[in-house]
Amino acid sequence: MSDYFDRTETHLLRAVERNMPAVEATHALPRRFARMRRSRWRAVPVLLLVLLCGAAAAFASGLISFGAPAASVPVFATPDAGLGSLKSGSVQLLPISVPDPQGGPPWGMRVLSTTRGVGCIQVGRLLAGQLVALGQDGAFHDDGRAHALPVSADIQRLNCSLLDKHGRIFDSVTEKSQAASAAQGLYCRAPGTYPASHGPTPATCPLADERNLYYGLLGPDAQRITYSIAGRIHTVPTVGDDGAYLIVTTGTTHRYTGASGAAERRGLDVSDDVPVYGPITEIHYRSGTTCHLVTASSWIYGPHACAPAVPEPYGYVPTVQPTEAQLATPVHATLIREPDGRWAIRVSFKAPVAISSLRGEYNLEWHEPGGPPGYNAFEHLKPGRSRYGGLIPQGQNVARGQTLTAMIEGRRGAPLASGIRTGRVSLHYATGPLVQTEEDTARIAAGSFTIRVP
Amino acid sequence: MPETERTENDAALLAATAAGDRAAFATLYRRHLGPVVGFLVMETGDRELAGDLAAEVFAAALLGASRYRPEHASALPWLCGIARFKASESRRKGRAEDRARRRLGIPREQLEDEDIARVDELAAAEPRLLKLVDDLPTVQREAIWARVVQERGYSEIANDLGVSEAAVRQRVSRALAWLRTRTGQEPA
Repeated sequence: MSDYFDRTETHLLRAVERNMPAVEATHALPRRFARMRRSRWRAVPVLLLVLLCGAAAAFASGLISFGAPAASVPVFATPDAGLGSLKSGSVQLLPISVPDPQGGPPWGMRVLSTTRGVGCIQVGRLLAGQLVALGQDGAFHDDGRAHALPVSADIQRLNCSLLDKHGRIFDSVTEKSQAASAAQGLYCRAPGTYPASHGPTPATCPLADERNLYYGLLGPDAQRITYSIAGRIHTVPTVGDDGAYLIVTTGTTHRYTGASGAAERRGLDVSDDVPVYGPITEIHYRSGTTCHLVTASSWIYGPHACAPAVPEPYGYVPTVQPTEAQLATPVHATLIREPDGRWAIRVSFKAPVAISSLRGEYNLEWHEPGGPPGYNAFEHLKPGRSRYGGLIPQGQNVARGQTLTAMIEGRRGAPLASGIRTGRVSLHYATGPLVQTEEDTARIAAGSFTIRVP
Repeated sequence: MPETERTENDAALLAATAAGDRAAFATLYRRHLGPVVGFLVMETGDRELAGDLAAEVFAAALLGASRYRPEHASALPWLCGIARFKASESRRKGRAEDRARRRLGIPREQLEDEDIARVDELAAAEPRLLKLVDDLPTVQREAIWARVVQERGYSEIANDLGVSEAAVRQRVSRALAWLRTRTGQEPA
């Protein structure tokens, strides 16, 4: 009987035959069906407008009153670091409104972009033209009121990706087991629905208030999506010029306890450049192309997912990646004595290319003697730290010609081990919409060094 | 059908893989599975996660095969770089990464108890060797890392160390002999 690693090998080898031409072509094909860009969000289904008006009427009639806004989190505090700061005028509430399965205010969605080339999507309940969270399911002391969701929100509820060359967001999000309140960071895990091995889980709301949310932007060419809920197939138009969609269902995670639910639990909170771990099976493009996202057992990616073949995400226009020739620069490594007599290595170089977005970051990596093979230690090279950390990638703008310096010191107060350190500086550059994904990050060498510590 | 083991270096195997040669990738996978699993066990401290991520690392390597730039004859440093990145992403997101597998349409296999034991087997060899290398005198450790792990030329190492090429060869030879006596086999 084959073991896990044999089965993995078999899958990988099938993928070699099946996928390599597709992998080569990812992001490389020209947009074959360019079209005039229409005014944003013109194609708003009448039904959605009716729902929007209905929600406003409910608010006006006093059914739900407003409480204090939800707390803001300073994720956009620094214009030149991390996610950057909000671009003026970039926050847009999309004309999309989806009924909640149990009633109440519908669900809505808004987008924003930042000074560092990042676009974010946020969802919440929709009331009086605002995204709100409701005081229920343990949120806001169950006060039954609506609380405006701040744009600068918990990063977990603010799905961000890298804008393409034309400033468009391509991001698809799956969030399961969410509370119907839409309050930030509040998951709905009813008692007894999770295996004991997962540790104690907060029973924050009744089972009926568990929601699965599937939303995103599929690009300007996406016209319709097909999805399956409880055995029923639906095909619906996307909304606006950037292919927005939002699907809200009752929660399903509680049905997937035990081994049979492992696959479902994995997709609790995922974002990718096409929809994953959700009910969407097909994306239909204006050109006539249809992309099939899943087979019975696996995901389909790349041009072969689509007929006729196009790269995924279709319509994404990559930014121009710096070349190795543009990046080539001397890297200086100097052995210095610390005041306490221990050795340290100062590594410095002048940035050959400016960094102005979250897409790129200089990285120093070196081989630490006695450690695992390869470059087994690393430092991100940047001028300083941004003011807010959390889960945000910590890149920072760098001017062309700016000197960047890093120190290699002994770990945890120990002296620097003697031996040779070989290292390099490279630019890590995201080639697609997602931040920090290995397979879509180019590592472009800038320079290298070798130094011996006595 | 079992794939035939190939003898080319890793750069050649990855170039062939990018052209759709499955036997080339099979050789690369078998050549480096143990060290990658060992590295992931050290990085994560979790055998199940290490096994899961090993599949993800090779899937990412497959996706990146055409972008591979050989800095050393061995692709192991590159694979360990991917492994470190995947382990780091998994820590950050609180779940094991599977994006590369999704992109390749590879189902995510479950690890059973016997597979965890296999992770132990695969991981056992590499840290033991690393530990042994760590125990070498400094001059021999430097030489064998540069020659065997980084696969650099004798003249280049000699230049870096400021000693003659003959001295480097002697240090490598003595280190290998010492390792053979400890492991009872030829080191990888």
